[in-house]
Amino acid sequence: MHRMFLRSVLALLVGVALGTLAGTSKAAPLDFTNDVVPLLSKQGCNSGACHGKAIGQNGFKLSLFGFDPAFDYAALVHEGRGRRVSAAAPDDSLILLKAAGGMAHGGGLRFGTDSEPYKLLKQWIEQGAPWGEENAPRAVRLEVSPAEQNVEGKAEIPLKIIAHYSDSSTRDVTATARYDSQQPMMLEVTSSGLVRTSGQLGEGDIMIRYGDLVAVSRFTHSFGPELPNEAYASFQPKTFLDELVLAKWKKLHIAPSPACSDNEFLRRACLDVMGTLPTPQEVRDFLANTAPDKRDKLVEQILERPEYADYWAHRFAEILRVKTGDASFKDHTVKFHGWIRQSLAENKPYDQFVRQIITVTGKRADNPQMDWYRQAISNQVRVEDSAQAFLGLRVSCASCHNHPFENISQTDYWRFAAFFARVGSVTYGSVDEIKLDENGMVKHPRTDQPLKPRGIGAAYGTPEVEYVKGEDPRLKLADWMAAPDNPYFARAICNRVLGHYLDVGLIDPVDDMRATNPASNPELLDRLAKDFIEHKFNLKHLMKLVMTSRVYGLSSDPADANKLDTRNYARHYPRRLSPHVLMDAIDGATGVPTKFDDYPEIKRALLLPNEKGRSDFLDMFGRSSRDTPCECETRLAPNLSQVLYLLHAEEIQRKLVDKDGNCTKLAKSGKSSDEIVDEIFLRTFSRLPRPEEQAEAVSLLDTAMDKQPVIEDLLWTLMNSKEFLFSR
Amino acid sequence: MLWQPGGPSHLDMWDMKPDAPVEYRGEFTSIPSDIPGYRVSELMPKLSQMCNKLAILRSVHHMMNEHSQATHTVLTGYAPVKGDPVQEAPSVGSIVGKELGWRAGLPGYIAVQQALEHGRSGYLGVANDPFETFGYPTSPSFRVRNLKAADGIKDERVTTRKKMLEKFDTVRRDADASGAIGAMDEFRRQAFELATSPQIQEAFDLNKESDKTRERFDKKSGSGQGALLARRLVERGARFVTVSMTFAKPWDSHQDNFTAHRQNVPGYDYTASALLEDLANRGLLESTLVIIGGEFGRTPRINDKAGRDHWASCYTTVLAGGGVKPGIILGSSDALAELPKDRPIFHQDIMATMYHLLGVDYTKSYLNEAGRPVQVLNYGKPIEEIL
Repeated sequence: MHRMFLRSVLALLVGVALGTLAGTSKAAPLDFTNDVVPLLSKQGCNSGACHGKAIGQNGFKLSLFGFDPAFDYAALVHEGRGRRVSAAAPDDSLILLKAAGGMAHGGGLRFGTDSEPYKLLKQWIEQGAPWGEENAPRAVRLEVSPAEQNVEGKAEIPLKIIAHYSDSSTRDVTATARYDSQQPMMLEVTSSGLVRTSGQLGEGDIMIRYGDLVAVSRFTHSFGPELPNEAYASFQPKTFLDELVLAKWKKLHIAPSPACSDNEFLRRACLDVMGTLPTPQEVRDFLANTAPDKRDKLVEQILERPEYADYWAHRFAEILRVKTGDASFKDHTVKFHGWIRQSLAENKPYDQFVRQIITVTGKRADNPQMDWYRQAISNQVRVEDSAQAFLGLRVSCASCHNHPFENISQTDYWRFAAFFARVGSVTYGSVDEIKLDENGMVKHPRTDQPLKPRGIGAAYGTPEVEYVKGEDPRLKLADWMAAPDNPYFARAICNRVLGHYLDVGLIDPVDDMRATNPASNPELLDRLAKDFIEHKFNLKHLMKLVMTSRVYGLSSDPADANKLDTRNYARHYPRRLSPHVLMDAIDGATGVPTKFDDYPEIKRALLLPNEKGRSDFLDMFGRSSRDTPCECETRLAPNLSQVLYLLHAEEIQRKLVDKDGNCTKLAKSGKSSDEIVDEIFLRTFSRLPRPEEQAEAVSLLDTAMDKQPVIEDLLWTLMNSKEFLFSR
Repeated sequence: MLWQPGGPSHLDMWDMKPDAPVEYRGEFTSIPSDIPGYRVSELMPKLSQMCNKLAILRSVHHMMNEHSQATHTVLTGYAPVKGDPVQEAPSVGSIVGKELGWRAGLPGYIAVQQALEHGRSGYLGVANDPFETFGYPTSPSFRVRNLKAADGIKDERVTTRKKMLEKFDTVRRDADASGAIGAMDEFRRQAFELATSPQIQEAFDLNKESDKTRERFDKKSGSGQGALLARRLVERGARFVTVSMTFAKPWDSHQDNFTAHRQNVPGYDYTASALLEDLANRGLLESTLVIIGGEFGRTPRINDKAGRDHWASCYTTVLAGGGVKPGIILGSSDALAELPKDRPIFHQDIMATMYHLLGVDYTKSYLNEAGRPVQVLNYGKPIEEIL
């Protein structure tokens, strides 16, 4: 009863709103961009599945979500032999006949002849299908209320959308905005902006589109009843990260798993910092250490080890696309990789690191990082790679049309490209020298107007940059990135690092920040970025901050109070070892290094400088081909071939029986069965066996005539186990 | 799918132009087929008498004249997107495998030996990659790579290891919200099923075929034995199998086109006819769609090295079985086999026909990794004349 009442009141409100709009518009002529385009977006006419796709639909093409109103105006008014809108007989206009069911329409009935959209379109046609005033104010920002809402059970919540215009005026566009639920199982939304929650637990977003602007409204349903304080008693926050994560748990009514064991912490930390398992001796030493702050000390120590630079150079080499392609560029990549490794070893401030790549000038022989420009050979790739790698933005869609899920326009894209306009002296196939090209410029692909450089994010008030004679605008790009109020740069690397250590970023995927993909804990991301800037873009400080938090040290075993959590770090999330890390772990456990026939000097997969190093194993386990800066190129998803490889491959068996390998050594060592079992567990699971495991394994060894095959089988078993294959 | 990587010459096989000037028509003469008035290359004596089982499409075309781009277009239906893997389109086999799934214990999508170039899963993810056999089907000891335990590991040791794995691999699958731990367990279950099921071992065991049959597929030919393996797999339930059909010379005959085709086409004739004959004899042709072709044809005008170059503007693809109307020659090329003359066929029309016949909705959309909805095909419709 209550629900029905609410619905009818809302219907009435919407009617009133539209009535007002139509009423006022009688006097003032309608404006195509402000009145008609939002209607086309709302009805889905210009969506990517219909007339908005690149080739249009049945000969009628509109710009995607109305990013190019002039194009749409021409398509409606001038093309189609003038039949799409007919001023003489408005009701016979194709656009009305098709949409309202008067003629066959592949997209079906969009609205009836007595509907508001019909009336508005007809009115516009009756007015002579005006374009509108050239200088009419344009919508620049959407204000959504509620922007965030906690809900319990089933509920109905009306949204209200206010559009802000370039002349500072506002307009209630609730009725004419388009709504889409990003989590349809949890949230439903009507075309008038009424949200209905299904009672499903978790967080979900409604995406709002008005014209070519987007925004979200986030709904949070707690994961259960409020938890007593005791649920959090064992969790004593140490850092602001802990405080802010805890606050989110309390909001969601979830509680953390207990702290992980020491050996779990050691294995996790070594894998995350160095991509390497701890040695048996390191495990024994860490377990024997009784200092209360031994975890923090460990973090400090391993961040200073050379393997830290090795591993993170590998990770950055994927993001920066250290790729030979043609084998003749091997030397370029070896030097670029070496430059990255050296930068990390000396803990170069991250803003400097990026500045030295982006603004590189002179000869490659003196500046190995210039090889970045060999992959980023065109202006478009420079825009897309630098945006994704350094700003966490995927902007490639905006090269051709406005970003459909973010307020980044095609103009924003090409203004960003203008920063690179004066990169000169690029030789084909290689980049050996970069000089200033005094006259370089970038033009808008649609209007052909020259564009001045501007950082992405007009909504944040990012200023445009003037070309200065004799100065490379890339310097201004680096300044803009490192500015304390840059909305993306520090957040992007903080999110990336957090996503690495806690397995999922605050924004996920880590390089896809956008209005419609909000952070799970925006306060935490803001705070991390602020702290990172205050500490002068110090990567090791950031990593230490994350790793010495209580959150990082939680067990990965789910507890009842957090089993539904996937985004808020109430427990540690396991991750399959990446291809290179896994190969090194197998080589380490068996004591038999892999040989790369094209890189004979390399003894560990993680030290490969580029995408090469012939190996079926690395390909099968999802090595990145470094075609884009996306971390997603390294595929961690398991598949059948991987599992079959681990179970059956000759390569694995050869490593087990190798005469210089660990199995043979252990069999010949004269060690007791207990010692042998300890050693195998330490080399794989990085822990000592539990008593029942010890008993089982020792009895297998003691009953065997020949111990070596049993040692092989035990190592084979542990290497096939998830405790080995995953970091947890 | 019998795939001819590199691109075979349509003029020297299915689209002969005996009346064209000498710099076009080439060295081979034509012979009559079992369809009155239609003649094919003298190098195809067997297939010439099986045209009444085929749908021969002679006006296929697309826009890509480079191998990688053309292969991408022909196997995925999409032009490559600037080498962007997050938008990389999946191959037809990955989509069919995903939509139709495993059957009778066999993976949905199997590549004899290795996956074709651009024959992988793109944004659908590695779980939808083809299951690759590796190995050489001509070898008497041919076996699928890693399907069974390594050499020297006897059955009882396999059993011991499996038992040990059950004891020591104790991580809870609910520990992992991404599902990777659960997926690992599921793939391991499938792996053990593949490894231990006598039916599966038998499916991949070419030695179970009679000597006569193996001989009919040419015991010495990897393509022939690959086609035979494909037939065994399809017979037992596999959804989509690819075989790369290569012979003595590459199909990519920029030089000495006629030497290359003189050496290749007889093997092609022998292999393709063997497969069609064998499927027909077993009553499987009705339910099995056979697709034979490469990424494009070759330039009608012979170059100064007696070669033919890349030609995507008009070429021939052959379909048979699986509900395709037999004995149809659809579309024709102009006098020089340069452009379609009537009934031009987009390559995507062939893909739409394949999806239609396999029962896959090609209007369905997936989200690629950029979050963009992408239809299985955004272009092309089934070729009504052959349905």
